[in-house]
Amino acid sequence: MNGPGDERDRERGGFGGDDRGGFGGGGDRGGFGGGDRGGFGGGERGGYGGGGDRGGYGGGGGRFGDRGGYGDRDRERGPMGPKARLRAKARKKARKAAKKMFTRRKVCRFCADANLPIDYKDPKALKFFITETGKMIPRRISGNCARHQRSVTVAVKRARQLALMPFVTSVF
Amino acid sequence: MREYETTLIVQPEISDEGRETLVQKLDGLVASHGGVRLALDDVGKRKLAYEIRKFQKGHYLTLQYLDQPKGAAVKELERQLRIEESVLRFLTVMINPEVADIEARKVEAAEQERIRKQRAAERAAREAEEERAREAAEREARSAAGGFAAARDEDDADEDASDEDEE
Repeated sequence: MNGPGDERDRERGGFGGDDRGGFGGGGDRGGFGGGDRGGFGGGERGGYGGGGDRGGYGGGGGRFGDRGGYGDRDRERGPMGPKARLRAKARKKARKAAKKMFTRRKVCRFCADANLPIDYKDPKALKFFITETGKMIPRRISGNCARHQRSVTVAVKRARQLALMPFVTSVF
Repeated sequence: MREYETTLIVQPEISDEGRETLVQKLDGLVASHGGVRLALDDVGKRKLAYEIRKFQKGHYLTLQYLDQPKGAAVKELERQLRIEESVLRFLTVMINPEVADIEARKVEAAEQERIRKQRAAERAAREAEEERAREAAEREARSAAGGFAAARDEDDADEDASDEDEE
């Protein structure tokens, strides 16, 4: 359409420069008549067209509107076109996903595999539950459930007694 | 009856016969105090996670047996282990508070012991085999090196390389 014109319009704060007085440069920044909420102009379809974030896009949609939009109002409130709303939604989702990635749900490995033994005579298996200095790894990190963490603790303590595992080791 | 398990660390320097007699004695103790001997697991020499009485290594043995609740066998066994000089440390753990079918458990334990022994024998054989193979390979390498460059030192390849460089 008339992309350049729209750009100019937006800068002026004017109405979309389309042939029929549409609201070309809709979208989230200078938008007039863009979204269905802000829209005097656009019906649903008009609004859609206006949703482009840059003015250059909007002209097509603007054509559907037949009355002038009240641009000023949108401008004050920070309009939110449907596309912008979609984007916001996506952002929110991404945030949630990122958060989820950090707190990935851990499953107690002894609950997951019922025949995984906890044996104090097997220091190789117990090694996963102590740090390199020989301290117990907390439940919130190892992911064990309370019951199994307890039995792991007992096993580690027994293994220490039998010199299969260290009480402490210095790391340097 | 209850099933117990006593793991003990024996001094590594004790001879196999000495260890054998110790085990015999402990077995006898269990039997004479109303216990039922189930199995013995000879784990073998192992590095200790920390020094015990200046020893860096220990020979681990695990004794499995049945005893009455609050029976005499555990008590007497532990008393003897404390007295025994060659035992560095021991730990008794209750495995099963109520073994109903004693005979079945006995059979099962005997079977386990047999399998363990077999595995240990296989491992020993394999290790011996590897040892022999390694020795043979070494001998061969030595003889080959000797034949190839008798006058030179061990590092034939290195010396060859440097010779070429000089040329």
